[in-house]
Amino acid sequence: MSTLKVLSEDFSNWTCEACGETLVPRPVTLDYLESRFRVELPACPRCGLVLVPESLALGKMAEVERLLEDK
Amino acid sequence: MTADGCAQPLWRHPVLRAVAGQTLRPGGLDFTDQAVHLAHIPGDSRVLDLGCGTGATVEHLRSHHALAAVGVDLAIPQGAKKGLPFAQADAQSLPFRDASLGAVICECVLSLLPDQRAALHECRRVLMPGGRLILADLYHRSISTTACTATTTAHSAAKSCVTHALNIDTLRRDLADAGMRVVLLEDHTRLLAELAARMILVGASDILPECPSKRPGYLLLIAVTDGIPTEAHHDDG
Repeated sequence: MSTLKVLSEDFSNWTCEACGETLVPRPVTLDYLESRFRVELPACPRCGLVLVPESLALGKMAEVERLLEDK
Repeated sequence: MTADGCAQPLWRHPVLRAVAGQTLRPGGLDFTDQAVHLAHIPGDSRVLDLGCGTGATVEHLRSHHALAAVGVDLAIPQGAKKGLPFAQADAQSLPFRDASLGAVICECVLSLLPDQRAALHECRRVLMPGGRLILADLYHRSISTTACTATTTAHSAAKSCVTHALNIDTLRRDLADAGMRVVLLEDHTRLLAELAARMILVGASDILPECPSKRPGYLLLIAVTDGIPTEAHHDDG
């Protein structure tokens, strides 16, 4: 399955606090219950830490959780 | 815009292709693989993909399952690879002789047809004795037959499998009338939910039409034409 672009905002000015590296878009796998989604999220190229913006967590991801739980 | 505000059929929307791939349906080709396996279709069988679209499934059945797959669609397949056997035809008037096919695969298509009963009879006509009909489609999980008919009619302009989800009782009756016996019926609503979830993640949930039943499901059904025992396989001789 192709990688989904889930963010419309630009996070290119964010840096990893631990490494000082600029975050870059990277394919990330989200697992929820028995479902798996491959999405693109900003991540540190050195340590791999992934940024999940609050707007995504409380918006689309929360909506997906509700959908999969209700089914 | 159509009368109920649906700009275009869901299956024609570019976003659906982006999240569902060339097959434009829940589960994609992996689900087709599962269905073909469960149906025990003998190798080299002549198999029809009814409503083949771009022909991705026809190509897959030929390359991965060694089946003599052909495709039929009401529209001329666009973007399909040359050399694949396609025909432009109506589901109620298939260009095949009686009892000439080993299987018919119909994924997310039956619910879109104006006369499902006639289409099932036509499938039965072209299937050989013991032939398999594989159906994957949306269905109503919690709605009475009466309410289903009324609400589906009200949404008829949308021309989406979501708004035209199948009624299980009607489907069973139509299959029996056509001379086919259900040998497998499974719920795969999780695949439908995952496709809807992908639509949400890319910010395209607004193009999903409202389903009359509020609880749409996704089913896999395999029926066999009367004539030989359910588990029997074809002999080449």
